[in-house]
Amino acid sequence: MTQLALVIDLNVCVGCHACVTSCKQWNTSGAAGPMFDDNPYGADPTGTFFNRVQTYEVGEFPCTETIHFPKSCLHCEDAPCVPVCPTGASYKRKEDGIVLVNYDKCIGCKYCSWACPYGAREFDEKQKVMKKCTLCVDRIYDMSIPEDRRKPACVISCPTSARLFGDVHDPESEVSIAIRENGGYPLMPEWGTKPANHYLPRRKTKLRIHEDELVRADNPLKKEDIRHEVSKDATLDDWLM
Amino acid sequence: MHPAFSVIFLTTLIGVGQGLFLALYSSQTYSIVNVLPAQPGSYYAIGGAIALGFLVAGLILSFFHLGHPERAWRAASQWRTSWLSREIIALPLVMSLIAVYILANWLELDADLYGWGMPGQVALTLGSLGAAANLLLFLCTGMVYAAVKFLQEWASPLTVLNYFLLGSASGFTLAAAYAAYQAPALTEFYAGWAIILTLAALATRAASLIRNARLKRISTLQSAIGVRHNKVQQRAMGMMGGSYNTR
Ligand code: SF4
Ligand code: SF4
Repeated sequence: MTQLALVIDLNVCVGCHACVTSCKQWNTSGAAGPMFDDNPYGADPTGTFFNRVQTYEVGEFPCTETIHFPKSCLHCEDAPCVPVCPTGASYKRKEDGIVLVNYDKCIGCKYCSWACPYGAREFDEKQKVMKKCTLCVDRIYDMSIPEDRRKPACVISCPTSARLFGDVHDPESEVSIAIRENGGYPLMPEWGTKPANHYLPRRKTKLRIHEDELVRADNPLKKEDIRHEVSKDATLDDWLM
Repeated sequence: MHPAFSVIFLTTLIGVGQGLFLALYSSQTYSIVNVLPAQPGSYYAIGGAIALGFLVAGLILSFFHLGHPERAWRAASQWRTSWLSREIIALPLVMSLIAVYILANWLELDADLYGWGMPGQVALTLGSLGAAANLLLFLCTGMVYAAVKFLQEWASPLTVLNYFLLGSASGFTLAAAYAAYQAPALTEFYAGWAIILTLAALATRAASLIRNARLKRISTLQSAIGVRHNKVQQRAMGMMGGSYNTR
């Protein structure tokens, strides 16, 4: 079975919101659109976005770190938003595991948004139906797009390549390897929803240098130990001796 | 979570209707075994019509929270998994059973169905069916909320019990008022039960408030973003602030 998903590397994301804007652009012009904007140029703008980059501060000042946290529907393997829907508008596709909403069936009761513990569902106040990330289902299978660009809009637009896309059920896929090798984790695993999207944690890049690496133990001439006296008015020639 | 006002009206109004029906049904059952004085069929029929009126009003108001009320019929399709769908089936079921009950009482239909040689067997049968459906509806309404396990405040059997007790208390109160006007002999019976139910509802509602105050959160900000640090603060909600469900 295939389960398509995103893997987001928090160590790489710089919080530029390129994924947010490209997501909105692609989806507002596609099958899921138009996506409602309320008061976009006013003091308190809001609207329907499938992908949002939240910002968190971890630690106590001055020892803080900023974490940019892109979040969209996680395409849960055991999606709690699906069984609660009274109309069957919410469904999970068997063939690729994408969770979708049928906009022609949805009655806009919003029950599913109570059932999604991740707050990923986005009600469209204009069309009065529930929407959410479709994993760009109208893009990833589009044969008129070159094959290497048949990926969700956010993945293509990310300037730092923080977003990976693929089948998390295929152990040899890029996303599975990334999860395996970089400690990828799901959000709120305590609820058993089994989110398909994973996150790669922040990593401290530290260079650990051992004594042996500075001084070659098996160097017969002990060349590294040779130090030259340097006079006050040393020239460059002195250094090159 | 902020349930829409129309949903609050729906649950309050159908609660009154359901409770009123249960009150009429219980007094009629008592009168068949001669514990309470029997009333003419029209008494139960008019009372039933008032209950039905509340249910219809609740149903109409509930449409206002839907984005697409014209598609509401689709909501009956997922009864296998969705308590909301089950509620949407139970509501018209209750309404039609009450309608049949009203008709039978108004026409004073009767027959010796079970060979007991007592009057009121048809009304008792229809009333029992209606009462069972009413309890089912209370269960569905409560489970719509109690089944959302992530909302720990609601995910408790107390939610279902509260809907049942609060709805019945308001229905019995209305029944007491109706009886005071139409059948004073029954007022005490209804009012007595209204007081008992209200006190019981007070107890269970208080129990759920205490439970909610002492809830231990299963999820934390840490598990929400997967960062293990004692101090995590959210600084921005993302593009354009909150969405409709954070407003
Ligand atoms: S993240 Fe929310 S909307 Fe997406 S599949 Fe899971 S429960 Fe459903
Ligand atoms: S808002 Fe739409 S998708 Fe969500 S539960 Fe209601 S009918 Fe289903």
